[in-house]
Amino acid sequence: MAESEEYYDYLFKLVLIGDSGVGKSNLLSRFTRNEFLYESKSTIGVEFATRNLKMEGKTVKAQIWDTAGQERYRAITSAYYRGAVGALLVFDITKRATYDNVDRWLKELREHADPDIAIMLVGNKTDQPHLRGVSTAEAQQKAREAKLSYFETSALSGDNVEASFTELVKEIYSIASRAQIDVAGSSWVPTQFRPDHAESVPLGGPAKPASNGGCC
Amino acid sequence: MVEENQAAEAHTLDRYGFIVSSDEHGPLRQPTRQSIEKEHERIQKWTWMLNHWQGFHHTRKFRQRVRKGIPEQFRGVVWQKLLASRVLYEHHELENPFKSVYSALLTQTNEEAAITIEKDITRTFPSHAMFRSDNTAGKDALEHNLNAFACYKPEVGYCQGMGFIDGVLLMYMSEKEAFWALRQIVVDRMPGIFNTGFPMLQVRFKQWNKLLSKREPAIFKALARHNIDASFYTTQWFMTLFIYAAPFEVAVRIFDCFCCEGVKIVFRVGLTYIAALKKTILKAPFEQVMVAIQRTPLTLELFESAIDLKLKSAEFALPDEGRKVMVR
Repeated sequence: MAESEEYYDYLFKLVLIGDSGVGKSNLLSRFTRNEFLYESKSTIGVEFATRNLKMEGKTVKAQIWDTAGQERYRAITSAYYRGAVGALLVFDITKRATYDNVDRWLKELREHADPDIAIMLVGNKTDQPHLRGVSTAEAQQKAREAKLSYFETSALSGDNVEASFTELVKEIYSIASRAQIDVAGSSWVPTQFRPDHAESVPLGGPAKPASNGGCC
Repeated sequence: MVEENQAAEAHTLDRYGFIVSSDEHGPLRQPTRQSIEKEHERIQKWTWMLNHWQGFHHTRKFRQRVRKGIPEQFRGVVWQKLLASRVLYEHHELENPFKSVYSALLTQTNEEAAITIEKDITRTFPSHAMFRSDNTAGKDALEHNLNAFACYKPEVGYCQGMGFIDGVLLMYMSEKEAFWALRQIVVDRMPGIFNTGFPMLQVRFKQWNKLLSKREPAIFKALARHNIDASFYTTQWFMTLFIYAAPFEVAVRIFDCFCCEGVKIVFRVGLTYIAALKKTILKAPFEQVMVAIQRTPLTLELFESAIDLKLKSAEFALPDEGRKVMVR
């Protein structure tokens, strides 16, 4: 257990973005702690959790960041995107307005995140099919046009949560492991995977154990 | 099973109205005989002070007593007096009962704000009896207050975080009184914190970084090395005055000091809190540092050791705040 927490071969920083109330914090708690809080507080500032995943025998640590969804909070989120290699752009399938804002979030990513960031569109709250305001086909269409993958999830039931995060991590992993080969052959490497960005993706072989296990 | 659930629904509440089983606001102390006696003594002192308000509330003695905590039953009244919201309330709500400014605001709508407010109402104090999903009174008052404010100051509108401040106010005063107290905090005491673009929050970040680099240079450097931006952890402090995450008994003590002395208390508590985590911040890897900063409970002891920390007002005064201090 200790090993799985502290040792990793790759570290991926992922960010959760999307309008207020779409379920970002509960997706995070479902994925990292298998919890859903019926009585959760609106997120103010930044929250953060991690989970390790196995990919082809390698350990990938997903470090997932979560922040307030209200538009005006974007004034202070530039540091939030720093080093992120993946983004889950979440909307609420029962609230059309949160879907209509997807394009604005994509623009936000273009402005603040690394150009090579892997983005996944996530329609959350499939546990409320009777309230659906955005059809699967429509969202898939949008995702295709923007060249994103699309998943529908329910943080409440847990449906597809695992699959969506894992798929995004897999996508990034395949780029990163390719990039590692490329590094060896010194050809093109996406900027966020260059060794000088190693804070997010250490490429120097098996990563160090977290240097100081014993804190305080 | 059903019976069990129903039994669980008959909640035990702490003295502040939070459900005891909830771990959200930390463990609670049981009052001792000694603490009860002490509280009675304080109540007498405060009764006297309220009767001699004009001559006393500017004194050092008064400030010291606020730092020791305003007695629970006087908090609502004293906060309103300190924020000078009582005067506004009396003027706008009581002088002409047929022309309540607040009631008039309730007839208006700020469409954009209302959408976000609605989402936040059940997410403000989910474990407090007044704001729980099965209680409408507190939630309605909160929704009314925030919507009224968004109409009152459309240039500020609604910003996530305001609800935590208003929620605390509503635990201690009526809906109308809370509205004017909120007005004083957002407009007068924390100008620009919630406005679009967060102009004042950005100023506070800079002031915080400056103060931290001066007082705790090693911590400042370690945080910089970890790329831990002030915005990650101080946003909650400056926006909600620690109400968002601190145990409630500490949050109200901080709020007492804020009403009396202003934003200084946020810097004092923040600096003391961060300094207490020094060992972790200097030695631990990034993730442990982040978790420590976000999850370490702010204890009463820590708060009490923060109160008397000497800070120069100039270190975080705004240009016009500086003037106010001079005038006093």
